[in-house]
Amino acid sequence: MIINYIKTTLRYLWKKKGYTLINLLGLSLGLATCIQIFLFVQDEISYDRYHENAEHIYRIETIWEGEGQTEHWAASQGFLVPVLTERYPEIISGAKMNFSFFPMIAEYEGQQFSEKSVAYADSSIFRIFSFEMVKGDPNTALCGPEKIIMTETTAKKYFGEGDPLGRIVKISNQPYKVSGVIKDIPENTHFHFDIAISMDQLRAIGARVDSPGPSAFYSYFTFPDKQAATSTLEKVNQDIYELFGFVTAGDSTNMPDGWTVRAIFNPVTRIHLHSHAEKEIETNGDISTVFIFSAIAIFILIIACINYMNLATARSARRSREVGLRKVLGSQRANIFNQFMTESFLLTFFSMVIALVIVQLILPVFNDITGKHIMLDLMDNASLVIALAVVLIITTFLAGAYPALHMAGFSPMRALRSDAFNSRSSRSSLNLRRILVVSQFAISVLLIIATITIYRQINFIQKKDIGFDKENVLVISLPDARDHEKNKVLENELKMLPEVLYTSTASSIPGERVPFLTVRMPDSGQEEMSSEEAEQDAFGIRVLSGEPDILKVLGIEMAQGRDFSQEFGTDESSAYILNEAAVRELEIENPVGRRFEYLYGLREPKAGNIVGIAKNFHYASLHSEVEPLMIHIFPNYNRYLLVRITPGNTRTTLAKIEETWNKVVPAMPIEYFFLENFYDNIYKSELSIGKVITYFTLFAVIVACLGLLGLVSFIAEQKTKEIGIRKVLGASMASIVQMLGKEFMWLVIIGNVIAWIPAWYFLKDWLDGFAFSTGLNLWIFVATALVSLLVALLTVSTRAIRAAASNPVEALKYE
Amino acid sequence: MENNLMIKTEGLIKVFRTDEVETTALNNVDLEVKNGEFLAIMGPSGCGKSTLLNILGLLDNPTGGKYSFAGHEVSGYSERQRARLRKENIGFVFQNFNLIDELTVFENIELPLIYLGLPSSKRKEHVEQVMEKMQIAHRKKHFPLQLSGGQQQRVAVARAVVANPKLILADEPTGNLDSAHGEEVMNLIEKLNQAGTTVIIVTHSQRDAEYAGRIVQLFDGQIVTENIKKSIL
Repeated sequence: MIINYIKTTLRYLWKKKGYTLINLLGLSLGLATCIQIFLFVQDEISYDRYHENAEHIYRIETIWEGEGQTEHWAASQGFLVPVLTERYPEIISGAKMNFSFFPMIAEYEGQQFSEKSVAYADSSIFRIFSFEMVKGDPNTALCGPEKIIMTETTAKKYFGEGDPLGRIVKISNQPYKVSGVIKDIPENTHFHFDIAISMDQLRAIGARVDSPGPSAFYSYFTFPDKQAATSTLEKVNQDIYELFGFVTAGDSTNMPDGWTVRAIFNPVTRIHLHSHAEKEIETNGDISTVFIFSAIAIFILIIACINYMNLATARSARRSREVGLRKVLGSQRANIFNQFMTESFLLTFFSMVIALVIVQLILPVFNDITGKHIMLDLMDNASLVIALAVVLIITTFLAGAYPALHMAGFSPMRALRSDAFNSRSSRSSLNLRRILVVSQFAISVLLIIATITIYRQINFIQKKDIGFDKENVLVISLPDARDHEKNKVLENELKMLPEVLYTSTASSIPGERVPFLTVRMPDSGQEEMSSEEAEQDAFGIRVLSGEPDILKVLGIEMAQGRDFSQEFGTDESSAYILNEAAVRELEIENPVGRRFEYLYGLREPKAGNIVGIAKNFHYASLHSEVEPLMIHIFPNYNRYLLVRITPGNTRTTLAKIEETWNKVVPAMPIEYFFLENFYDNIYKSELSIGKVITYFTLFAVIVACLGLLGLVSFIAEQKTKEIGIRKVLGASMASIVQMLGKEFMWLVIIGNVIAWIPAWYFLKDWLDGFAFSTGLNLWIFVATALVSLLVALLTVSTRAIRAAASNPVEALKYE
Repeated sequence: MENNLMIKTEGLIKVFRTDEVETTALNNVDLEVKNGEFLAIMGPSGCGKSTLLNILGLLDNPTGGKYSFAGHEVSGYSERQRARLRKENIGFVFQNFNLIDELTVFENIELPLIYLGLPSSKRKEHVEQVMEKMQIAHRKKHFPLQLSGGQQQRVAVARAVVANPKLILADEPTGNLDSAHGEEVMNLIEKLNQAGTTVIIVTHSQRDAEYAGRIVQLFDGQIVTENIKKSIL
């Protein structure tokens, strides 16, 4: 029996090639979209789950609240790991890491490499994270100073096929012994490193690793279970003021007035999608993206199934005779049902195979858009195979059950008459179809409006006056921020080039996170305070350090006072420039000349005066208003050399700059980029979401058009007789197309109007996330409506013209 | 003499082709129909009666031969040209009525006038008149499925004549009716013919054919005999 079904199905599908093609295409595209979204979501939610103890690993974070502000820090002070592990026995183990934010020079047998991904790690990280050790002993690899581990790829870069263990690599001129090689860290982890230096090295040079100090560490703990983590967190929060040294005597705290602090244990598996704290190690994903994309996937799949249903039932009029005949010949209701379900299964199965081929072919494009490295590997992705099987069954039923039941329900007498299909029940299902077409157009319209708005906003922020001149600024990565002498030589050599206007080293560049560091503003005229008092008075502000020409390089204008100048020999040690936002928020009257101190990382404060106020410039994205900023001359952390060059002739200028570099730093290739490109990259996630939504919009629109084609076929089929009669009575082709088209235009207009409400709501909310936005414009809605009408009209016309052009005899001869 | 001809075909051929089979439905049909004539086409099933009627009614194009309708050579006309000629000159009556189920009696009869572009007030006037004549005015708000077969066919005839066509083509107009209703419809058609309208009917029924002035017998796509009623001679 089943062979008969399959044979009939294959012959029928082959005979009706056009119908089969539309059906296969619609379902395949729908399934392909779903598979891609599945892979994307699977990747997003898989972050950090490969650790054996993933469910029981937590990162401690602190939340500081006061004066209407909330600061949530991902990084913490180094003492937390030893103190908490010692104090709370529920903790199985703890480990902390620190990541170098600037590249370090590594050297092996005369070869130099700039290593951008270097971390410091406690030896206990192997007890927390499941980094697979390929060579070396995880228990000892990071015990003791002057030891490093590296990833397989890095080891290969240095030693080829040779054994890395025991070899000596110099990093920032300090020799280290390679004591372990681990497998490359998977992409789906919230942090990455190529080389990890033993934390004991920092201890050996006397850094404040295990005592209160800078919040520069990421502290992880494992617990036996969730309960232990919860109870430990409660205890930590009870003791927190004491732990952080805010309790001076008894229970009274010496926290600044109105400020509170509490700790949280953030499960490591939640970090990628849920954590957006200050000082995250890498840019994290967002759970809302996962929800939005999942919703899109489900919608597109439903739409594709509905379309299949539409097409299948639209064709059932043609097949009613076959069904009637089968029934007359003794076929049971169940047989007919099974036959059509077999057909649905086969079509879905073929569609799935085609969908997998489509996904395989377009994954590179998808990866390019999402910045991921997703692979389609059925042998190694059991959950995908299970998901595909489930989708195959659901789709077979969703798409096939209605037509199968519909046809199985024909009475043989009725089925043999060709008006069987024109029954009242099929007319009520026509209303259902109309609702479904309206909803799929609503989804498409929503996506189109979102795409246009996102691109408009991106365009707006890229064109907005950002208060500095991002063009013609070359950013060169300095091989070693601490090698001031060599950096100075390089800078001086570059300054001699006629194409170079200004140069300055800098700690950060616009477009990246500018660090939040401690400063103090002693009231003018007040006597010196004790260091304890001074610490209490300190506050955090974003700090950009550079050299005297830093404002000139960036093209920032002054609002008051003066720029840094070599003429004043003291600027390097005592001049500060604030931006207008700082003056406003700190409520400083007559700022120029006021005393100012920089405290971060110094034993003695660097005391001086405010010499000028710079006009506000957008050094971060337009998501937020310009924040207070302090600029000073302080080359200690400057890892970039900014070079403003003359416009035009960029290629020659770059060649000259490279030549100069090779003269000064012969062992290393130059690494540079343009500030403009880097700055525009801060909208990478918006651009990426824009691209992904455009990508899926395209799929949704195609699938919706196929759906429309299905419905118009259905109606044209149902109205064959009416069209024939009207033509016999003199109806022109145009009037028939108009008759068929008018209804669809209404459906599309209704779909548009329905989409407007959620589009308005969600996009307004999204735009509110920017301090500066282009706003929602009515024309986007109107234009989308027009475009969707046009697309619908074209789609409907292809089928309607065919129906209208058919010979009226054709339409009537079956009567 | 030529001017008095409504229809003239010479060597009319119609061939239906499917993937495997080629069927000749009409084979060298020569036929002349004068203005005001009442012609019946008879013959066994599958002899090509309906095919001939469809071509005469400009619903289909012949594969070969010549066809002149009211002085126009129409065998090469496009669907658009045929449609124009059709709506201005021809009314159709089908065996299965071919009424649109979604439209009322009034709306069904009104359709040809809409396609002729008549204003609404004129349409109403024409439709009311023809409904009176066909005795279906009391059913004007009913839908086809609410009427008896005879009533439905009266609506179909009303629709066929509402635009005052020169030619009425009827394909088995009584095929779906009992004898009483059938006679009623044939009387209506006869009255129309007496008023000057040319009528061609295709029928199996000798009784219906008797209404016609001339009977053409078709067999295997060819005209085999022509009988002219004595009363006409």
